[in-house]
Amino acid sequence: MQALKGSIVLFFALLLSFGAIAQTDDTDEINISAAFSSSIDLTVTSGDNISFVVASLEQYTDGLADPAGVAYSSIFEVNASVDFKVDLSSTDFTDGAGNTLNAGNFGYTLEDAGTYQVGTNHLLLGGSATPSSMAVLGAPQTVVEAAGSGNAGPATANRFKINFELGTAAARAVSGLPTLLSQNIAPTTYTSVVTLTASAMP
Amino acid sequence: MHSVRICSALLLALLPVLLRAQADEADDIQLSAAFEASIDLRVTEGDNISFVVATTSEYTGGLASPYQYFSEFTVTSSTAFQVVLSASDLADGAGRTLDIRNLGCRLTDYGTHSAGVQHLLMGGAASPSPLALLGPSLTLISATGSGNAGTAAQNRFRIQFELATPELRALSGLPTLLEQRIAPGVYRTVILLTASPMP
Repeated sequence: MQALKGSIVLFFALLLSFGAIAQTDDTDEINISAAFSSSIDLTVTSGDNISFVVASLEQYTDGLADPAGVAYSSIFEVNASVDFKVDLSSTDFTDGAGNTLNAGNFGYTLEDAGTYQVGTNHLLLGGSATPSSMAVLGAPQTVVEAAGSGNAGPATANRFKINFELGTAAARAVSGLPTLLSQNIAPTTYTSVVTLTASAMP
Repeated sequence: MHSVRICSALLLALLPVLLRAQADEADDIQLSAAFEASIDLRVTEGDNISFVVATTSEYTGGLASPYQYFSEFTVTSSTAFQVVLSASDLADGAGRTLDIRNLGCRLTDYGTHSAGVQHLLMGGAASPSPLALLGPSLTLISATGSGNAGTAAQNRFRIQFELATPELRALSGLPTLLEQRIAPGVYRTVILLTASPMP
């Protein structure tokens, strides 16, 4: 009888100990990750077809430019998750019949059109001025590069305007070419493609 | 001799009583049943959620999909319970972090218990719940009405995560991922779901 009583007491002691370790709070986990690849997207938003018409003697000697920055302008913008640079290159200007026009006749300047600022976020043609100094088409050139606090950001921040001009004194001062009149250019239409390439800064 | 006769007579008289006392022995058994609250929460699907941000539209519009980025969990509970989510900023292991408020979630009933009847989702009676930001302490589920003690089949829920969508940014006030200038890399965190009895 004593042994039986001992067994009963032990059994209930075991039951109680099971009750004491019952689970009152429980936790489980979810692992979450976000992988970010660098993303750069350059878009020419206006002025993807620029046409100069050289018809008068004045245009042959002084060239063409629009001081208002409307007629011969392109605007491009860059969405970039990382700091970037933009290189500008162009093909030869040809008429499809064997005649060519020296690309150095075309000058251009860049200016900020977004909220990021030259000297703070980027350089324009290597400098801290907007509009930038004059450059001419021909050899590939870095037109925008990150500087200071960097230029990763949205299109509204990275918007730029390129103002082209043809055969002006300012362009000729950079290229060293004579006036269009002095180049004996065959009357025809010369075309080229200007390519803007954005890439992550090294 | 007389006294011996008296004692013998007394013994004979008491014998049935003595015999009865030996035959009817009694003892007690104390029976009790102690019930502790028992709660078991399990993530049954989607314990690894991966977002990949690669394009400009993803950097500006964020990521969300009804077919991806979700987890399901069940709660088996003997008592009315609440579930709290906690998460810290994501980190890339190289000292860079991603604000946890870039992530949000909404909750949907997937069991037989119903929002507004047995429980609230994010404090409301709607399923799916409104969108909420992840953070250090977000109460996903709380008991209400007739109470949510029950089985896993009754207490089954889906969490739908999203990353930096416009709706989420309206809650957090954060700019787009693009504007946050996040360094390329993989950022990770662990989300804890804790079920506990209702206070």
